[in-house]
Amino acid sequence: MRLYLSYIFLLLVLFSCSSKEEVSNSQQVSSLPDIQPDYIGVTVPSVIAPLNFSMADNFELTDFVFSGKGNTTIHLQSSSTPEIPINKWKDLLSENIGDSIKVEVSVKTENQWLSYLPFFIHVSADPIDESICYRLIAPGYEVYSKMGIYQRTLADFKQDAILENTLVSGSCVNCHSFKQTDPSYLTFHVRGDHGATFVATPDKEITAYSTKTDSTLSPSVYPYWHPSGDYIAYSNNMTRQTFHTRESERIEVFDFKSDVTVYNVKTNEIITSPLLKTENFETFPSFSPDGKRLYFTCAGPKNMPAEFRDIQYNLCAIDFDPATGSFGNHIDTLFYAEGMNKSVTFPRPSYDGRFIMFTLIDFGQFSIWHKEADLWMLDLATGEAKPLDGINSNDTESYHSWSSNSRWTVFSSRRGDGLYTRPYIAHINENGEADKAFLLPQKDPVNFYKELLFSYNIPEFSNAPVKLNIPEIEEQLMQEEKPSFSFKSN
Amino acid sequence: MVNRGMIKSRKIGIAVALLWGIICFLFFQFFYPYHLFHREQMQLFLFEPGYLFSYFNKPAWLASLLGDFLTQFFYYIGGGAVTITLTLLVLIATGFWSLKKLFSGLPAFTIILLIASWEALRNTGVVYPLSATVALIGGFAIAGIGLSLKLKQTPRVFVNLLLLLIGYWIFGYGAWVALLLLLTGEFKNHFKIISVVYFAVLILPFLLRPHYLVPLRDAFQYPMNLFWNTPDLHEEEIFAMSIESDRGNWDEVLKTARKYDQNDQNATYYYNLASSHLNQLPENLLDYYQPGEYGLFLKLSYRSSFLSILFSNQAWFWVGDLTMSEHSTVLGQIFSYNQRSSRMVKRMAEINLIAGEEKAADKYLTMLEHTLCYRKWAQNRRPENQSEAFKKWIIRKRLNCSSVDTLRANNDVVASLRNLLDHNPTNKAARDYLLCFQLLSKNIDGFVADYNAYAKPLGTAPCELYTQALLISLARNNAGPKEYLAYKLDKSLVDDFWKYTELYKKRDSKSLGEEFKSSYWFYYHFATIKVGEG
Repeated sequence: MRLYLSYIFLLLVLFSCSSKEEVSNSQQVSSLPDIQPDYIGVTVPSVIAPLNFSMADNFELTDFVFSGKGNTTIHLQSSSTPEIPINKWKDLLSENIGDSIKVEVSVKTENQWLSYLPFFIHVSADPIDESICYRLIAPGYEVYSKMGIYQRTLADFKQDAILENTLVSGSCVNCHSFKQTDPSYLTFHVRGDHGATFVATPDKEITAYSTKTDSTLSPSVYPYWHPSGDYIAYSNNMTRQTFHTRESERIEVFDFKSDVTVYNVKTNEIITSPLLKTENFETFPSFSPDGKRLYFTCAGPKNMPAEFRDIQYNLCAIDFDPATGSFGNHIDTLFYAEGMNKSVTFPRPSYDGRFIMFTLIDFGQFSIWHKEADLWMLDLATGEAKPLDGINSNDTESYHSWSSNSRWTVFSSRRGDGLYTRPYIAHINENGEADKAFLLPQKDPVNFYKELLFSYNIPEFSNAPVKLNIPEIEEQLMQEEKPSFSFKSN
Repeated sequence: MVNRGMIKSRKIGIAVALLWGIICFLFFQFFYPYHLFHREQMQLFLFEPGYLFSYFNKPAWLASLLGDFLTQFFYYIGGGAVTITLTLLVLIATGFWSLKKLFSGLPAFTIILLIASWEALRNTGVVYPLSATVALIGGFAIAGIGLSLKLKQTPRVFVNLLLLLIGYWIFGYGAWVALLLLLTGEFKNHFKIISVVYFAVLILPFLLRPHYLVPLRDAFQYPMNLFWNTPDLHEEEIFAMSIESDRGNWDEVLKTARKYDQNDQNATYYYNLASSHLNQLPENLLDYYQPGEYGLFLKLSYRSSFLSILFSNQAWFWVGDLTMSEHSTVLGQIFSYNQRSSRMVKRMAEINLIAGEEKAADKYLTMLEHTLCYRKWAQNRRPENQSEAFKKWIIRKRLNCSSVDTLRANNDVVASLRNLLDHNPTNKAARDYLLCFQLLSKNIDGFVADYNAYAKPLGTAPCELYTQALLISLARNNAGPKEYLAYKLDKSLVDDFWKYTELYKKRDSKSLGEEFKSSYWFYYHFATIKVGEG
């Protein structure tokens, strides 16, 4: 009996070893394979999860060979999306840091093998943070059902829920923000009947606040941490959502008024400057990495919504003294978008202080539903701004954030299906130029993204696991009275 | 003799259970079918590994998986009644098998029959998941296994605890049934203090709740969401209209609306929609309960009901406003069970096919191709498989979609419809909806302005409803004969108008009610507009 079992086992081993069909008499095709997702020529970090992909068209069989300068070769055959073995993939990546992985694809159709031109995946030597965090939300706005904030490890496919709104019915979680990818400094909002803004630092337990004061236009949104962790910049917006009549445009959100404020975490005070609390519309604040400047976007006052196509935001800055919590006495315009008949959203300075990446659209501030939205890079040394051709597409590119070493960016793009945003990651070189971006890998990316009915929203790098005390958050949310921000005029 | 008695009792038991099953089937098949069709439409079960693995993210994964799998069969005519009946019969069989280990035949059978009846009633709830019934079956099965163990007390208690822990993981709240029965077993078997370890299973919801991210109450009762329900035949009539409209049976929708004659905003919505599809909107409008303009387009707001949100996309889709229809559909989607609705996904596929958004359409068609019931539907809508009739339908729908871009608020119906008519003045559905909307909101000036802009240039005589409204405007403005003639009004209606005016001046409400109850004049003077939130 044992002998028979051994024979069967041996046969199974032999069968599995010889199960790959030989790619013989292959005809060479003078084009690159049409693969989905498009990973041809992308630059990846050396710890990224396997870039599984498949042919856009169906074939009887597809043969994939991944090789590099080392000994590791991965050879797979499949009629659909093959799953690259993660350990071998890691070996392949580590053997080719600073170099490229060669990918050869052949397909079998009508008993004839066709071999495409090989393509390369470049493996950067620049490290990347361990995970990204994002909100998953269905693209509906006035009312909300299920949504949540999740963390995804970049080295594998593990996604953990940080917080879901199912915890408190009728709530909405949004605007999570870390201090330069460090999740020990955390803020996020929960909207709804029990709404609050949560703030946590290493020195301060997570606390729920009511952020609306008599002196601010609205509760605080669009947070951005000061590099010291002592301040958070917010904007206060009186916002309305409307709908385009043409199907391709869909949704427009605009402000009737907006101001920028800064919250002092230690004193629990909101501070601002008369220069930031004007008839102009100021929004999307962010601090420079040295903490001495506050960037934001600003537009002249308009009669909204009648002049919705005329409102255009420029990229501006004001000095900020973290020691005293005071602002400078003038505002600089860093990028005059109006002059190009354009509008700036989401200015995000790189943490090395060299660049500001921003989104450029035709008008307004709701770039996420603007098909023309592209990412641009402003070189702070030269003052020159240019589009990031390596990562822009014909569809929307909008929210973006930097890795802690300023060599990678994660951004949301609607290029996949035109309806749901997906996270893409791109390498940025020392000159501020972007290499070709790649879609966040999944085990079976085609089916995964096609069957996901949620958009990836506010993707942010995180250099450590985000840990929340869920029972504590729930208890604080349910409290009727929450501590409020107080207002201190500058 | 004893065996014969037992066989006889068993036969009687089986006969009673079967009779109970027949009654259950007849009820769901003939009195409650549309609820079941609706329940199927509020989920989307995919045969795709990623989707199937997602069941591990919540409690009671096996119960939820089986329940949702079985709910697919509600799609087929008779499938819902058969599936629910068979599931409940399995509950009776499993429950009887477990209870029999604690009680004698008759009490065990009576208890499970009462539980099954309670469960049948809960299954009349529109959001009650079949997975909750499966969870109960699982709970009884675990109890039955535990009570069958021939072990000494200490090992038995620990094996049972393990069963309870697994039971909670795979069947959620079904584990509490098992806990109750196992404790009863211990009491019957000379209870010893060691049996209190069973209560350790109650820690699981507390421990796993942060992982599952659900409120404590949900952690204890998952996947069940309803303790008690009774059939809602009023809602069944609304679902009848909703489902028949989805099937394109507009005659049936109109027939159902008239048959039940409900004073309900959703019923009016379907009555108006069916009338418009049958080209009779202004003709039929005032023959039915009209809650102001809220029966034409269902208002979306924080206070809107679940059903209004689900239904609201249809009117927008019909008049050709794809943006608003898509917005309503997305909201319908996220409020459905697990944020996946087959009906909403189908509508999203149609909207994007019409809009020429090929990638988005492909996404929804791919999802539907991974289902049991909609695979064929999706395949037939792939560009390469589309029939000539379907291609013509798309072209017709595209003609109505606006190419003129402007902004409007969510509920700005007038701006939306005017925009559609500016793009395509021949869009009769949009024109009738706009004119009827103005009339139902008693905006005579708005009606006349829109009539002059979008209907008068066609050169045809106005229908009775529009004539009645035009006469109010003409009389209010002391118009001269030339102006009357310009509208090609039916002379008999002009005579009626003066007759109505005389009666109104005399305050002869009895005669007005008898002769002019269905006229717009009567509506204009006497209807009280209710602000409905659906």
